[in-house]
Amino acid sequence: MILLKLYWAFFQVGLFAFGGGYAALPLIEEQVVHINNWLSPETFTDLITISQMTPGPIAINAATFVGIQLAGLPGAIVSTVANVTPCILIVLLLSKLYTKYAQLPLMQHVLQGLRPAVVALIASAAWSLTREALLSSQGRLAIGGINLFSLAIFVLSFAAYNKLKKLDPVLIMLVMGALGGLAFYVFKF
Amino acid sequence: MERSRQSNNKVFKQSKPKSLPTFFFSCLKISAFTLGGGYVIVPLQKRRFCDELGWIDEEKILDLVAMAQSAPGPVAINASTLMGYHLFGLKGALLAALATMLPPLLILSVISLFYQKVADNPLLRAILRGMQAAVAALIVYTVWDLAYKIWLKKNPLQLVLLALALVLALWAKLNVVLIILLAGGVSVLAYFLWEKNKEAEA
Repeated sequence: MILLKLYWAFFQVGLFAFGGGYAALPLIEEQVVHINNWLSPETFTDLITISQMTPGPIAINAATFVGIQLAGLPGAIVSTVANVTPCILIVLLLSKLYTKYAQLPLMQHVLQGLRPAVVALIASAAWSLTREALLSSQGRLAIGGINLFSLAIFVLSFAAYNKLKKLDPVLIMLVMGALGGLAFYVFKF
Repeated sequence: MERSRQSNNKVFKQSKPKSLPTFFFSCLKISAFTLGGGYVIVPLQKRRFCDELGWIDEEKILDLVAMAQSAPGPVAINASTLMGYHLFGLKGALLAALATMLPPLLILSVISLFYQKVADNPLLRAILRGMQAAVAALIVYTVWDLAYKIWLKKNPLQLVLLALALVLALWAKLNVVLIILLAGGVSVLAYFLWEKNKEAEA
């Protein structure tokens, strides 16, 4: 019974979550905290924090987390599958349409127009992420609301991606993470 | 005429032969490092499937991302499913979705058992902060790279849409799907306007 409820709750989240992770948050909160009382607001906030630290979209992380708490691993699997079912179906439909119609001149034109829009949307995500990474009034190395250490890592990483194109960006991410850990021990920020 | 699955494959100088197992494990790895938001998957996918393996070109990736954003659900799942379908058809799509779901599912299942300690641990938070800055830099770098390429093309429609979409996304904070619909609508309009011009001149 609980599995069905999990499925239905996260299916709805999956169906209406347009526009990326942060757009899904209110939907998840509504289902998980308010409608079903599966998590307290405080635990929900913890979940958001953890979701930042772990790989994976917030929706999937929320599904896994709630699922495990309520019904162990089967619960996690059910809620995750429920979450992705609507989007996979819709995406497959879009793919079929793309394969069928992409060759048409009109579609080519539209796709050409969509590319800069997509770049702008990624830019918007980049802006939010950068703000979140750099803005912090905590820590001893903060000036004007910007955490200088994070800024240094940001600039270093950017230079690394630019100059060391052969290097796997994942490696750079890990190194910078390690630097962060090191800074914790040295500067205690 | 023989219909080959690879018949619409562009040939790059350095492209490696397509392999489903390679694809599956690439998706697994990419998903394991998609930290801090779904959009990180774009540079990771671009690097792996476009630069390293030569299975898809940059513009196609942007088309896939446009579709990924037009559908509900996490961008990361959509983007990898689309990539899978594009490269290997239905089975590629399903494998990609599976590969993308597994790492967060497993990692979070384990972490949720002692999540409190994880959320409050200052060392982990410091490491996270370092990685967040690196991830932000990666996306900014990718955007800069992509925008520069659009700039180089000097296509007036694209440049106008880039500027317009930037304003709408950053300043007006318009919904993702709305921006895509708008860009699509403008493109359709431009198509019919230009076509009429061409017919008039002919």
